[in-house]
Parts: sequence; structure tokens; C-alpha cells
Amino acid sequence: MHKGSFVMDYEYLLAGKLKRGFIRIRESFKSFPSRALLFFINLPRNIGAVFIKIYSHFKEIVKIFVLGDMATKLSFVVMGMGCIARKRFIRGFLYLLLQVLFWFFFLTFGVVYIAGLGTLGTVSQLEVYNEGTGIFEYVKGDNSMLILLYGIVSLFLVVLYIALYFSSIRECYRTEMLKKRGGQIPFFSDDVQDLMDKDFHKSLIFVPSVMIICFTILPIIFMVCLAFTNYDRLHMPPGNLFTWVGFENFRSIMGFSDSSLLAKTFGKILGWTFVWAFFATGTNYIFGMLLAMMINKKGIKFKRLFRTVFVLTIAVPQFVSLMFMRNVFADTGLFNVFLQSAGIISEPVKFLTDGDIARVVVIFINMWVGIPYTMLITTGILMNIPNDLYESARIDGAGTAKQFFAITLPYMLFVTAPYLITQFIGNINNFNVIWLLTNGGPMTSDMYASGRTDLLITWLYRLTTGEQNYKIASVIGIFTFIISAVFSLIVYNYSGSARREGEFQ
Amino acid sequence: MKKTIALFLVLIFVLSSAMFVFTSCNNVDDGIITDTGEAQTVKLKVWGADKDQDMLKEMCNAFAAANSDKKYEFEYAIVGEGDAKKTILDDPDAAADVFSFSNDQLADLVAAGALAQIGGTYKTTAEADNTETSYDAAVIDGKLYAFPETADNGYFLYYDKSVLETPPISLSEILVATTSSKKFAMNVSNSWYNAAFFLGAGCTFSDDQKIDFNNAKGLNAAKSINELVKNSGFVNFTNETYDPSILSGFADKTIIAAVSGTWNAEAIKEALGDNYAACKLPTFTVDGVEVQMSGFAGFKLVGVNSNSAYLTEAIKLGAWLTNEENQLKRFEDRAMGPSNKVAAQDDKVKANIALAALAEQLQYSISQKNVPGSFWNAAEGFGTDLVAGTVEDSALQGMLDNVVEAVNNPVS
Amino acid sequence: MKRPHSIKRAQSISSGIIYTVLSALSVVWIIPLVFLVLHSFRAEKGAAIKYIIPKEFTLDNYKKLFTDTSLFNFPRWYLNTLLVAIATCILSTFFVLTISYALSRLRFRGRTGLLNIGLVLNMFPGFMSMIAVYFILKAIGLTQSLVSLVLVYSGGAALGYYIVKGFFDTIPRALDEAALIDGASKARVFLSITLPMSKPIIVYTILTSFIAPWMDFIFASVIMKDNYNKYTVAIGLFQMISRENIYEYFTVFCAGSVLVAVPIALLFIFMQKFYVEGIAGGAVKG
Repeated sequence: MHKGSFVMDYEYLLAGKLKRGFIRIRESFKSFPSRALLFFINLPRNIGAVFIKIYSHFKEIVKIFVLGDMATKLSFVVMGMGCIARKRFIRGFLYLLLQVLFWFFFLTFGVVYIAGLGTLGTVSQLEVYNEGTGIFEYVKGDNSMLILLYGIVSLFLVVLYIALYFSSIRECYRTEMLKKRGGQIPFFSDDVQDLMDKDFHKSLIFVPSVMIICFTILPIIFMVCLAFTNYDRLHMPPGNLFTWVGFENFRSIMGFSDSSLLAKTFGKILGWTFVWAFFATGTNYIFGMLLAMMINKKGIKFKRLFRTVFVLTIAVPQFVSLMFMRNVFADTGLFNVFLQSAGIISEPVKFLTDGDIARVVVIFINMWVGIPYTMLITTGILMNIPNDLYESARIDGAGTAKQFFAITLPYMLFVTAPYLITQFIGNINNFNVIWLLTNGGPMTSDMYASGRTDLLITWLYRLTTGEQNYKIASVIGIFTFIISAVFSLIVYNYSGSARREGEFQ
Repeated sequence: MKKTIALFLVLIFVLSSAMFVFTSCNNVDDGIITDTGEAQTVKLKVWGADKDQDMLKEMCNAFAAANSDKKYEFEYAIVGEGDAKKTILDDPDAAADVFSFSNDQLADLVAAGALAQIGGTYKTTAEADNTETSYDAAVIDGKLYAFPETADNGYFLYYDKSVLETPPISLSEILVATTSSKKFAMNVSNSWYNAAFFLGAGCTFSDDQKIDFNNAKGLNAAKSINELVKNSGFVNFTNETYDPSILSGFADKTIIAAVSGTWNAEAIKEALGDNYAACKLPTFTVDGVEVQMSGFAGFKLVGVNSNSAYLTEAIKLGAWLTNEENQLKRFEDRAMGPSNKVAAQDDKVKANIALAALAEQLQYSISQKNVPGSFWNAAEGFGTDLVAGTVEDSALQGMLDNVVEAVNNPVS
Repeated sequence: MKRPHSIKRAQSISSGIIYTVLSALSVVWIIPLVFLVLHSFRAEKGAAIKYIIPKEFTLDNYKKLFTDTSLFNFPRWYLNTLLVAIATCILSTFFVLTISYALSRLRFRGRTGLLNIGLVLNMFPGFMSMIAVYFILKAIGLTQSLVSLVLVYSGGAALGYYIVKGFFDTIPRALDEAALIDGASKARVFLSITLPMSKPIIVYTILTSFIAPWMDFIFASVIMKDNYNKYTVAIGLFQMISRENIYEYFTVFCAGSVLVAVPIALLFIFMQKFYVEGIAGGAVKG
């Protein structure tokens, strides 16, 4: 229990389950600033804890070396030696095999790239004129990008190997201790059985984790590293090398170097991204919920039909419908033609080509795309709200609006708070809608390589594909990531949800 | 104890022999890329636009027939000229050996080392056979990096003969003929097009890829653009909608004149029928004086990938694809204007209305060689701002300053 | 009696209002789809949609999809996408189910750490990782192939554990405990008890991972680059609306989109019950 806990308050204890939820939400928001502060203050301590843990691992290994017998000591050179010596053959040989495989990888591949990480390459492509054939021939030089990428992958594998190495030594030591005590040495079949039971979690998460590491974690590390290099159009492999530049890119974006246009642009786009995420999430949520409530209402027939109609839009690939919308709302598009022929306007309305109007139109079109989803989700939950709550409210004389604000809304917010957060973050990164509707435009000279409806992420995309300015794009990516991550970590961990986990079980 | 040590020695032996094997087969690739041409099948990958595929296949088969002493195997893929740079730079190894690209990508490709330099007789032949401007478009610092392929990537004026009976000379002449339902279209929000004003007024791209668009001449050009966008007879369509819009506009007579290039020639011809006509760009007024609109003279080049495994053959193929015969073929099949001097003088080429207009305009246009990559987004922002029609002349200088900053200090 | 009357009347008025609103909204939502279908039968070329009903109807666009395969090999792409979708949904479902179960049911060291990491990683803008992923795959020798596409789509699947985990959390533990006491291994419990009870969420996972490859063109075009024959339908359709092609191919694009949307829509409609149950179960828990 931390300071200021409301759980022991009389009000809380006496309140029904629903009111408790409401109080929780209120308290979450009230204590947000202080919790945010706490999170950052604790961060160094948490990071420090990780290092201390690593250090204690090393200490343990040294201890084993000192205490272990000959076979265990030899395990430091030949992995699995201790296990083999004590007749745990299969396991021991497996360790040895892994050791061989690792060294194979390391010597044929890893060493070169890790060595190059410091400089990211020193030899650029060489051009040699061949008098005989009249052709210029090329000697391949170092490829900075590949060095960085494969270097990171190799480093990672080295770390993994060290962890495996430690674990093998510990296992050998444990086997030694077991033998000494005269206990039963486990057979390999016992080990397998453990994997199905005691260590079932290991078997379950092994393969997915490997995939995630390959496809998400390593690329993230790569991207973070890119932000500290000068990889851009003028430093393109394979013809050129790029190298580390430290925090220079960060300084440019924050406005501490010559180009203030970049910093101004970053600020503007950041602001619009938040505004967009807030409105996009909010409108979809509220209106989706209203729609679900309308369909759900007692006495309305054709529930299934209505739901199907709205869900149909999900079935069409997003880029198809967005492209279509873009056409319809174009300056010469159907909507304008319709309005003009109906005499409502004389000049076409620049739905998607005027900066301010486009911002509003984009939010509206996003509603069309997103409301079916929220409707589906809220439908399921709405059906779970106990009816007697509504009954008692009606008997007490509450009108529909009051019922909504006092019962439905708090319940929904409480239950779907994490979902809302995910949606908010998702909208910060909502590439498809913005890109397909306006391409981030309309472009303007006030901003560097970006337009009025650009989100951080569409700007990022344009910088990579249009200008090959990978270094700035990486910095933007990092900022986006940090913002999303910090925000969600704070709210998720300290909202009631994490604590409530145990309740259902 | 003895058993343990024995076991240990055995395993150590196994390990170290394995390591020895690994270190010796450490295959760090730093070999010179030469081709080994003897009696092996030469595999060449060729890129082209989707509409060019059939024509490319014919040309490559003819190449194989002409060089029957070697066996060739071609692989084709569809990568348009505009996408070539990006696709190559993403992964040079997997890219084509021979490909077409538009010349504004030359600088970036050379900087990245993706293009093989062309020397020896290939270079002298290319210089002799092709027009000076097209050859120059493929040269950086006196070194040739690609074969000139076409000389038709620029823009000029298409117009409806039934409304404008003689080729219009000035912008005002065109605008006088417009009404609220018959307009003049130009994609001024796009940097490729609005540069016509700046270049016409005298702004330049320096050799180290810097611009001076915020000087007095630039300001004049900006004022002219601003005046144009506010004219009710003018209409701008944004990028993706521009081509389709002018096509349908010509067809239903809501557009009387538009600035576009040879890629639309067929479609515009179909839309206008007998009223199809084209000429060079009009003049516009700067400080009371009529100044000819300039523009970008774009050329398509055929480049050879420096990573190619069959470099000699690839260069041979590149030279073949751009020789006089094949350039004429390209004109006949796809209506692309040749850069080859002899081919360009062919009667059929001269009779092509669009190409004739382009050739006329080319005299006033400049090459895209010195345009830095950051220019396109920056000038597009400027154009888009103006097209809204609400910008005052007084704000122009500040906007131009922003454009110049974005281009000249591209945060690299 | 006056009171029941007016309550009934009030109710039917409000019902009436709701019906009108719902119908109006349904129309708004359906219109673009109707346009799409209508324009797929349009004979005139061009991309600008200036009118609703095409002037001339034709089946040519559909025919073109299947016969004019030199430039846009639609049938091949359809098949490719189908294969990728099937493989992806199998792999993704496997990954998500295993991780969600582990995080929900099993208690082990580092569990909360993993939860947090997973939450955070999911926020990462996916395509920044594309360059890295492409070259990692290249190092293993898998480039420009359908296999690499499948790997890319299912690679990050496990990060979507959130809803599935929520669903598992709602299954009472009592059943598990009873089985464990009887001597079943945790693996047995997972396979024989939990999974059969999780039909809604499994269907939900299969459905969403099956649909993804049909809709995505960004990742697919980065992986495939110029390997034209291995394109998926999404890349192909997207190319049809590029600046050079849109004038001629827009109506064909509409036809292609209809062919993609119809099976998915049918899937959705038939699976609606499971889908809603799955999400409700998973999101309620929070």
C-alpha cells in the first residue's frame, strides 16, 4: 500500500463494486503526475538492479569454479563436460554441440562484424579501370549498414551464448552436488518431462520469443543505433561509409543546431499527432458505444442485420476503402460534385487539400473506418452489464441520459480502460488512414519535408523512402516509441487492471 | 580422475579440430567482381516499366542473337523508371544488372556507388551518337555513368485547337480564352512544374546542389505564380489526381490547355481527337517583361549495376539497348523520343506532335542533374501553400526563405 | 389507463427515432461499398468518381483480372495471398496461444517483466524495422519469397497476446487445479482442458491473422521488391492505382477489391458470434 491509498477509506469500502471502479479511475487520473514522477525516479534504481543482478551471476560462476571438482572445472572449457562425466550423456553432448555451433558461427561470421562495429567500416568501394576490356571494375568495400546490423545480431548471439554457457556450468555443478549427496541423476527423459510440466513455460515461450527477438527486438536495437550515425543520402552504402556521430541528430531535432526548421517541424507534428490520437480515439469510442447501445436496446429488431451491415466495412481492405474515400472527397470528387449540383456550394470544398479542413475531414473519415470495431467490442461488454442496475435506476426516476452517465459510461471506461490506451497509442501510430487519405499533405513550406496532416510516423516514412534520411527518421522513431511506451507503461501498471488480475482467478 | 582427464582430452581434440576447420573456411568476401565469361551462361536481370516489358524482351532476344557466341539467360522484372533508385538502394545485390531510370536520380545513385562507370570505347561511342544535352545528363564530373536512352522526359503545353486556334505564346493569351468552365491546368503545387517559373525568371541550381530561390528573381517568379493561382481561369490538381483530371477534362471540354508530358500523349490524343495540339510552354510576365517559362529537361538513362556479376556483358547490353536501332524501335513501339542524334532526325520522329513540342521546349529547359533530393518536398510545400489562393505577396519572401533553408541545410 | 399508454408511446417514439438513425447510419456506412461494387462494373475509364451509377455496365473488368495476366497476374497473386494467409494464421495462432497461456496461467520468474516488455514492444512503429528484418532474412537466405513473408507476418504475432491472455484469465482455475491434483502435466492441462474451452478466442485469432496478409501492402512490398510473380493481392492492387496506371486500371482495381472483400466479408459474417464473444471475453478482463 503506498501513501495516499484510498482503499482503506470508508467511502471506498462502503461503495458497491461499480462505485469502487469509478473511484479508482478518478484516483488514477488524480495521481497521474506524481506516479509519472515516481516512474522516472525509480527508473535508475530499476536499471541499477538489473546490473546488480548480472554482477551476482558472475560472482556465482566464479564461486562454482572455485568449489567445483575437476570435471566441473573442465566444463569451463568444454561445455557439458561435467554432465558427460556423470553419465548425463545426452544433455552433455547437447551442450557440446551448441558450443561447436556457436564457435562455427562466431568464427565464420560474427568476428568480422563485431570487429567492425567500432568504426562501421573503413574501406569504401574501390573502382579499378580494366584497360583490356574497357570496363570499370569494382572491389567491394565495407558495407556500413550490414556491419551495424550483423554486428548487433552477432553481439546478441554472443550474449545469448554466454547465458547458455553459465547455465551449462550451473547444471554441471548441480549434477556434481547431486552425485555427492547420492541422489538420483536425472535421465534425459526426465528432463524432457520437466519441459512438459515444471518448465512448461519454457517450452511454450521459446519459439515465439525467438521470433519476437528476430523480428522486433533486434530491429529496434538496430534502429536505435542508426539514430547515432549519419546514415543519409550523402552516406549511402555500398558506395559510402557512414559512422557514429553521437548525439548530433538529437541536437538537431531539439533545435540546438543551425536548422531550426527541423525543430519547429518536429514540434508541430508532435502536437498534431497527439490531437489526432485524442480525437480519433475519443470519437470512435463514444460513437461506437452509442451505436452499440442503440442496436442493443430492448425492442429493436434486426439486431443481427444492423451489426452485419456495419461490420461489412471491416471486410474491405483498409487501403481500398480509404483510397475510395480519397477519391470521393477529392476536389473534383463525387462529394463536391454532388454539393455543387445541389446548389449548396459554388466552389468545390477542399476537403483534403486545405490544411485545416483536411485535419477535420480526416478525423471524420477515420470514424467511418473505426466505429465498426469499437461497436463490436462494446457490444460484447454492454451485454454483460447487469440489467437490474438499470432497473433500479429507472425506478428511482433516472432518465436515459442520466443512466448513461451514471452507469454505462463508468462501467465501460473501467472495463475497457486498457483497450482505450491501446487504441490511443495505436492512433499515434496510425499510418494507413493518414497516408492513404492525404499522404500527410497538404505539404507546406513551413515544415521540413512534411505536411499539415502528417503524423510522426508518416513523416518518418517519407523521410526514409523519399529522402533516404534514415538517421533523422530513426530519431523520430525513437521519440515516438518512448512517448508511446512511457505513457502506456505508467497508465497500465498503475491503473486497477494489473492489480485486478488475481480477482478472476 | 584418469577417466575424466582422458574424456576431457578427447573432447578438446574434437573442439579444436572443429575450430581449425571453421577458421580456415572463413569466407569473408572481398573478391574483385570480375566476370568469368568463358562458356558459361550469362545471367542478366533487366528492369523496365510495365508497358515496356514486351519491347524489352524483343530487344534482349535480339541481343542474344547478335552475340551468339555466348549463352544468355535473361530475367525480367517490372520496376518503373521512377522507382529504380529506391529499389536499387534498398538492396543493391538483389537489383537488376541493367535498368532504366530518370536522370534526376543519377546524382544519388552515383553517390551511393550503385552505378558502374562507363569508359573506353563505350564512352566515346555514347558521346558521339547522342545529343549533347542527353549525354551531358548522364555525366558527372566528366565521368559517364549511364547510357542516354530517351530525350522526352520534360513537359510542355497541350491545348485544344478548337479553342486556341494558333499556338499560344503567352500565359495571358491562354487565360483570356478561359472561362469558369473552361480552364487552364498546371500542377503548380508540384515542385517539378513550379520550377518552370523560377528557372524562367533566372534562379539556378548551383553545381554543389544549392538553390538561390529566395533572391529578387525568385521573388518575382513567386509573385507570378501567386497571381496565376488566383486567376479564376486557372485550376490546379494535386499530384495523383492531376493526370486523370486533365484527361477527363480534355475529354469533356472543361480544360482547354494543360501542362503535361509525353507520357500522356496517347491518352490526350484520344481525348481531344482532331483538336489535339501541342507547343512549347508559354511566356509569363515578370515586372512587365515577358519571360519564357523554363522547366526541367528530363532524360531516361540506362544504367549498369556496379554489383553485377557479369559486368562486361551488362555494359554491352546497356550499350545495345540504347543504340540507334533500338531507340527508333522504342519510338515506334512506345512513342518515346530518342536521344540518339540520327534517330531524332528521323521523319517519323519529327512528325510526332508531342515530341516536336518537347524538342522546342527543351531549348529553354535545364537538366535535372543538380537538383538535390530535398528540393522536391520543399518546393512542393511552397506550391501547395500558394495554390490555396490565400497567400499575400508580402508573405512570399518568408516562405521562400523557408524553402531555401530546407534545401540548402538538409540536416545532413 | 394513462400511464402504461404514455410509457408505451414514449418507448415507440424513441424506438422510431432509433430506427431512423440506425437506418441512416447504415446507408452512410454501406454507400462506399455499394460504389465500389457499382464501379467495378463501370465501362468508362478513369479514376475520378463524378457520378454514382456508371453510364455503361460491363463485366470486362472482372474478365480482365483473369485474362490480362501479363501485367497484373491477379489469379497468381490471389493464390499467393491465400497460401500466405493460411500459413500465417496457423503460425500466428500457435505463437499467440502459447505465449498468452504461459503469461496467463503459469507463474515463473520474469513474468511481469515479460508482460511489460510485450506491452511496450507492441507500440513500436512496425515498418522502421523493415530494413533490418529484410537483411536479417537475407543473411539466412530467405529473400523475396513467400516464406519470408509468412515469417514476417507471424513474427511479431506473439506481441498481440493481450486480448487472448485476457480471455484465458476468465477461465476458472478450479478445473486446472483438479486436473493437476489428479497427476496431469501442465502440458496435458493446456491441450486437453484449456484449449477446448477457448473456441471463441481461437476463432478470433485465426480470423484476424488470416485477414492480415490480404490487407497489408507495406511489409509485403518491402519483402517482395521486384519479384513480381510472388506478389500478394494487396501489392498488386496498390500498384494498379499508381499514378501511371490509375487511369486505365481503376475499375479493374474495384473489381479486384470486390473479389478480395467478398470472401473476407463472408468469413466475418459467419464467424461473428465467435468473434464478439472472443473480444468481449478478452477485453472485459482488462
